Amino acid sequence: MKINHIVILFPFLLACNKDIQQDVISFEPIPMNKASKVEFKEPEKLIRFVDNEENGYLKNKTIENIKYSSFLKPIEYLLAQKRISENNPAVKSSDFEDLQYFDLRIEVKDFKMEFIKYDIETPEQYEERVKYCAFDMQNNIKLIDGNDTLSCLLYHYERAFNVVPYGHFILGFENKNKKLIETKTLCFEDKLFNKGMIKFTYAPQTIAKQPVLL
Amino acid sequence: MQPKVKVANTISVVAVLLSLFVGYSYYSTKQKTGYIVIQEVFEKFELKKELGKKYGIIRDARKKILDSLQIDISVLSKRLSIQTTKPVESDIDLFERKKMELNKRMQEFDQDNVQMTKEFDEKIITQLNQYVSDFGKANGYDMVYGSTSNGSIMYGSEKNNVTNQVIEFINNKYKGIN
Repeated sequence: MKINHIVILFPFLLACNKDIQQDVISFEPIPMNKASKVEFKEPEKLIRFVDNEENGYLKNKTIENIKYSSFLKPIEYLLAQKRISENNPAVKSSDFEDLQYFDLRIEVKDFKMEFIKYDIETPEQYEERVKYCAFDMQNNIKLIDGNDTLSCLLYHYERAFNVVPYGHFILGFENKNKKLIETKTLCFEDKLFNKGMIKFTYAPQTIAKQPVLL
Repeated sequence: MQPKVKVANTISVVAVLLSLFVGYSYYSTKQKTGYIVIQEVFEKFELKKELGKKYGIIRDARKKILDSLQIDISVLSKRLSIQTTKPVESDIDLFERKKMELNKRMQEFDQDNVQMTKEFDEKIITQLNQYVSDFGKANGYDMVYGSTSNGSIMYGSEKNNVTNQVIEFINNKYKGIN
């Protein structure tokens, strides 16, 4: 009979158990030598691993109808990409170690044209946005790496005209080769659509799960 | 199987089915609602704190410029007032120019401060609204009411007050943690 009581109560327990739950994320720095390696023999598999949003490298945020995506690209990811595109086994991870790389993507939801054409009234406004994306936006991007605030050293706006409905920005920040893996926050002050500061935070536990190409 | 056991089993099955039905009905028809104290959420939102700091720095820098002009004018005024001989025309000109500059700057800064507050508030409210909406969706709320001092919610039981959960959620969203 006791089991029956539990079964009878079960739906009510379910109903009451719908409380707000949030995963607890630790932001404690992790020593570099404690980083765990996720090994891949094939570059394609490594790329799939990093591309998978569940593994934390890709983060999205939507403010009204503007979608922002930040993609932290581990060095081994770049190596894997090079190995595939150039089929060159001589490429080494040390070739990329000077910088830490991110991609930033900006997309207007349900807008099929070039994203900077959204909500513009004059051709001059369009030209201003092109200029902003090509040059000035670099000054509105920073990376907070532990206690360091790093300026964007590598900045490239991939202008796609009407081919894709989003803007793609390739970013690089100084890599200080620290002994600790600390929290990284990509900060972008959006002066394009005026949505304010957009942040993406990567906890050390995400970065410590380092993919390695064997 | 004995008849008594059979009856007991049947009763159990009926009870289970009934409880499932009642539970499902309760679960599916009950709207999940909560309320937040808007002022508290607004004040504790990280973007509001950051922009508040930025506003303070700019306002203080502008105040310093005005104070400096004010001091220049006071010095000039004193110099003119204690002069026994007739004041030099260039000193009077300078005094007038400084006064005009002060008035012009004061007007400009007042307008800019109002404009800046408006822009900052717009950014804060845009992101705040988005994240509260995300909170509702992520936690299965049908409604999240906003309690303000103007009486939009006259009473709300404390168990429905989700202000603290919302503050934690929206700040994590703003930082891009979740």
